[in-house]
Amino acid sequence: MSTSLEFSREERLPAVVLRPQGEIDLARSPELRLRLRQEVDAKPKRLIIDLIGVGYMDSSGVATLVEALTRARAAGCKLVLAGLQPKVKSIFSISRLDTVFTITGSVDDALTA
Amino acid sequence: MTGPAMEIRFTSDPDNLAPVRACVERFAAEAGFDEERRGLIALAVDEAIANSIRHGYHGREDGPITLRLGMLPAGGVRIDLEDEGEQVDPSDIKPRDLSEVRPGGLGVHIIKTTFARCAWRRRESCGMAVTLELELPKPAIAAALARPPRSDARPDTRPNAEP
Repeated sequence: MSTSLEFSREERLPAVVLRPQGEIDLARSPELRLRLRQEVDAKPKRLIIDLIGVGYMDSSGVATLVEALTRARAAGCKLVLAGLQPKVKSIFSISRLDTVFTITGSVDDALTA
Repeated sequence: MTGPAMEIRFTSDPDNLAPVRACVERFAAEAGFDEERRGLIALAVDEAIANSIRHGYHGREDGPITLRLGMLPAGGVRIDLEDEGEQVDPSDIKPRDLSEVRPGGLGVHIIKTTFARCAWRRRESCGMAVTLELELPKPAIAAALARPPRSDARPDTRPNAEP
């Protein structure tokens, strides 16, 4: 009944930029998890997750990103989050993950962070 | 409780989270909370419902959940959430150590960070209930009292209504 997450993808080699679009909660986080696994398994040097199109995220979405970060590190991939909206920044701050992830304001900054 | 009150009944289908969040956020706006606080209230309620879905109903999508939204007499919200799922010892519902970086386990921390009072209990027949309360910050109470009455507000014509 509710809409699925949409993704767009851009290569800015050696980085890959993944842009989910929508709200990420318990209903939608499995889609994000699957897509992130596929992207990390392709072993890019850098994976940028541009969250500018994500207006809401709960702890299931955050858990998905933590899992992706762990897998990325194991694969030698630098994972960067970009474009966090205020509501999404809040949950990272509350859960004290804002110091664990590399977070930038824009994709351009994420290319060199 | 005083002021508007609302009861929403829905099933433990995760697709219900988004519309329920929208109701909660709107209710928090009516209670006078600012945008940032409304977002946190909606997030915390979302986390409580997600816990019902995952731990109460173990992912079943047809379990009944009831959410009651009300306003505290001195300003703020009181939220009651009930399910008919598996019961746990309320003393086991604790936030986890945030120094561990691992997926999961953040819901209770988010709930306790957002609300001033959180109380979980076993329901008598089955399932769990949680009551969440948050007062409106004092400057916001003054601002809410200073707002002009809505032009579309209808007079209360119930027999026992106060004049």
